[in-house]
Amino acid sequence: MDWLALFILLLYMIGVFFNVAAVVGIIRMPDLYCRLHSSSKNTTLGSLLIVFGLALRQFQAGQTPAGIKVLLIFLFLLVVTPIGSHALARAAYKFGVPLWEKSVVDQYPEVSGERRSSDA
Amino acid sequence: MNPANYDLEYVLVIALALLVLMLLYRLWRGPTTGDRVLALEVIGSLGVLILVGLSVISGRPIYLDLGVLLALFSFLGTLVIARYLERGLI
Repeated sequence: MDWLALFILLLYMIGVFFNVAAVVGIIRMPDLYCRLHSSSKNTTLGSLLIVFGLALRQFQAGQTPAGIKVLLIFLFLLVVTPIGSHALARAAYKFGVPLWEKSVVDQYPEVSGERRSSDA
Repeated sequence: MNPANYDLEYVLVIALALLVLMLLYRLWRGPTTGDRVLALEVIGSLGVLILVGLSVISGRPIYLDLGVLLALFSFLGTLVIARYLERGLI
């Protein structure tokens, strides 16, 4: 048994699992903030695992420059995905997207001293 | 160079394409603009994965450049729409 192929298969399976969890969370969660909570972390980890597995696959096939390029995509996704989710959550809060009615706590106004546009 | 057998990558790409189809539901009826932007962002991320998988399958590294471009412009679009929602101007 080829242990590298088994490791790549494991990376694919875990990555697809996290992506499926992210999509199910986006569809089923009641609130934009819950959806962001579900999507940002799961999408980051799942994408990184799959891209790392694909890079190992390129190295295994003997195509080293393409594998290095895939590793650059790895670094780019690692930086970019959390920044986008953070900017989107902050913009949605300041725009006044309502929280879920069963939300327990909202510490943003007392920490930052700012108000939401819908509460003013 | 071992003989190429990319069945696993085919299954991976098809699974990710099914996830994109599932996300079209949230894109169709998101209650707010933020939901639609979130769905588009995740669709862009999955599209990058699909392009890298197709590059591995077909052995053409040109698809990797397309993946980099898609990731870059998806990120820029998310940032621009977020800035527009936050301040009302770009």
